[in-house]
Amino acid sequence: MSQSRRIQIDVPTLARVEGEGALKFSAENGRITQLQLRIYEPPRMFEKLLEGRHYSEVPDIVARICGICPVAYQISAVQALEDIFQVEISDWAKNLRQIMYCGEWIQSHALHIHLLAIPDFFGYDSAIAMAEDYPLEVTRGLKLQSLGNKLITLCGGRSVHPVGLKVGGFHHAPELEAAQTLKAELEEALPDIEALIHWLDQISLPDDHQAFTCVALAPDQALTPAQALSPVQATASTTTQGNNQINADYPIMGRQLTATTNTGNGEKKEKEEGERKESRTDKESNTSLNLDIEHFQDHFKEHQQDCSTALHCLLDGQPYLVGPLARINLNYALLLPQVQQQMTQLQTQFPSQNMFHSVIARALELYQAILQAIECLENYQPTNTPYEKITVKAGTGFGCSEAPRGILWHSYQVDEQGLIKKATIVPPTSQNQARIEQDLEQSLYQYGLEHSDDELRLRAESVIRNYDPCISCATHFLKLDISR
Amino acid sequence: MLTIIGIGSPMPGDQLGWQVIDQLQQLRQHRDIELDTYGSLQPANQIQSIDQIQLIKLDRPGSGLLDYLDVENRAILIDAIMSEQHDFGEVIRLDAHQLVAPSDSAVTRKQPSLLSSHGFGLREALLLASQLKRLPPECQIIGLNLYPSLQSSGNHIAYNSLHKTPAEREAFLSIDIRPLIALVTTEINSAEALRNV
Repeated sequence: MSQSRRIQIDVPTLARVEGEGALKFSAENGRITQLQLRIYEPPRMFEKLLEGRHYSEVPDIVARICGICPVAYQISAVQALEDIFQVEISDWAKNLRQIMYCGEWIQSHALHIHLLAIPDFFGYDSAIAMAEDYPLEVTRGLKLQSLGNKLITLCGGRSVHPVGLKVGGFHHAPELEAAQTLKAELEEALPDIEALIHWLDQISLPDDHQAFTCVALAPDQALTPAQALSPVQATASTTTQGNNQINADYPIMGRQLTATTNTGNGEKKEKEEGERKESRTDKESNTSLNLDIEHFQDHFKEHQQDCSTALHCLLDGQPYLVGPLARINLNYALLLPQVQQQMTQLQTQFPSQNMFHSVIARALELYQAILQAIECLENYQPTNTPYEKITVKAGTGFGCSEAPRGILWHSYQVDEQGLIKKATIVPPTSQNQARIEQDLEQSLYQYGLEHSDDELRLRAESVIRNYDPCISCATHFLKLDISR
Repeated sequence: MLTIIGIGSPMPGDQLGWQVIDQLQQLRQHRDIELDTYGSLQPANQIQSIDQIQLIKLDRPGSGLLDYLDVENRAILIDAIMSEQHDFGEVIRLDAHQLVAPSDSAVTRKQPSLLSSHGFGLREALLLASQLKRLPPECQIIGLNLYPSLQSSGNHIAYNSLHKTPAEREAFLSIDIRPLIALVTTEINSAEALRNV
């Protein structure tokens, strides 16, 4: 096929992503001339809707932003509000929030792996079509997803837009018997998730290494650059990196952010793409940022693009990645020993610069979440005091948690009556949007523009699906500039 | 075993399936009364096997519907239906196997890759159940048509948003579900009758 052919690919509705987006892609003479991820789903204006509402209403309102990751929205929100009211929640509530969040990771990751991502790698249009030939694998995925939903229901009353969380803790304590039953179900599912990880590891994924910056929460006692970047050594009981022992959980909620650029696997790659020449030396990694979430907006700036109703967010002017692969790349030393043990048996090595390894990163996090939930349920006992009393005070607070798709940052300003004066929510998909466009360009060059339109379209869609974008989440705002 | 699943949500505007299950629950609990919320219904004692029936309310389950389908059991799914071919308020009964039959599923297969969890509806769940051989041999969908006959066209986004005029909204809010309850109770009794043959 000639390099001089004109390529025009218009995907009016992106498939197997949550929400409504489109892709416009043009190329001529072997050069990409237009590449736009268009998010056209109407803005939902949640930040404005929150203004004037009582702080106690916030968890239930923000849960409506997403049907897949409502827990993330609720947790980031209550964290920010508890930050304002300077309330320290009990260890009991922290433990239950961890369980609930694990439930969300389990259901969201299982859903994305099985219903959205893997049909690409097996040549099917959908999980429904794939189910005929892979019934056991699809059934296993549905079972794992269902377990996640049960955990959310245990803590939140229902799995979609749960209602259990409140500022200060939880409205009520789950029953002991229900918690124990679910713990037993999670333990029974461990062989399933181990089988899933190894099955995914056998899939032939595209070899598409790129340089990119990863951003994720760090443990509150942040890793040193040396700790964050040295290879993992797993043992049965402790986690070590280099000579440094680390005692911290794989972060889901926290106050510290960390970022690295060019995390890699030690290979040096050079590639010529038309007139472009790209040179990347892996292991040039360095930790470029350790930041309290309070200072998020000093480095992370949102801006509007004409093509999108979702804001693009840049880190010091550059695209960056959030989500499972970024988390694993940055925090793999903090994964539970059983997860690290599985990782040592895989062909796929982490940290990885191949975005297609996201599907395996997601499965490893699914395993982590199940193990973590079992651990948290181990000594669970109901309590009569599931929440702390709140004393309202005016102020500004910040919350950040690792939604299944990446960091979800909230900030609220509250007045002395407890009414919301201002709300700012930065969801993961708008943070990944610039990175997706950057990835698309690099990936399509690397794949080769000589491929047919259908092949290029499928590759482009697969690239986008690696990020598990939730467009409905990303369009919760409307930035309106009026000139008079 | 007969499983009756009401599909809906706790929010107003998508509660038809849940209302039917609530009515059946009340019939189970108070056999000697006639419900007056929507006028007098079938006397409870005419539903012969109500104790043996599983009554379930599901909140937009998507693929989670499969957790509640068992090939050993008969299933009835209650939901609102949008059909331009039927009158507003008309009771519609569909065989789930018809919906997933190759001739019909071809319609869905035209755009299967558009599926996301937001777009994973009842039909997609039934298709998946069928592919996984988990669709009960007897599985019916019974619902009321809520497509507003007063309106000539509209976007198929959410049925309550289609009811744009005051008259349409009034019709929607005051829709009579008694014929739907009557058909469901007839089905329950016929299941019992079949078992007794």
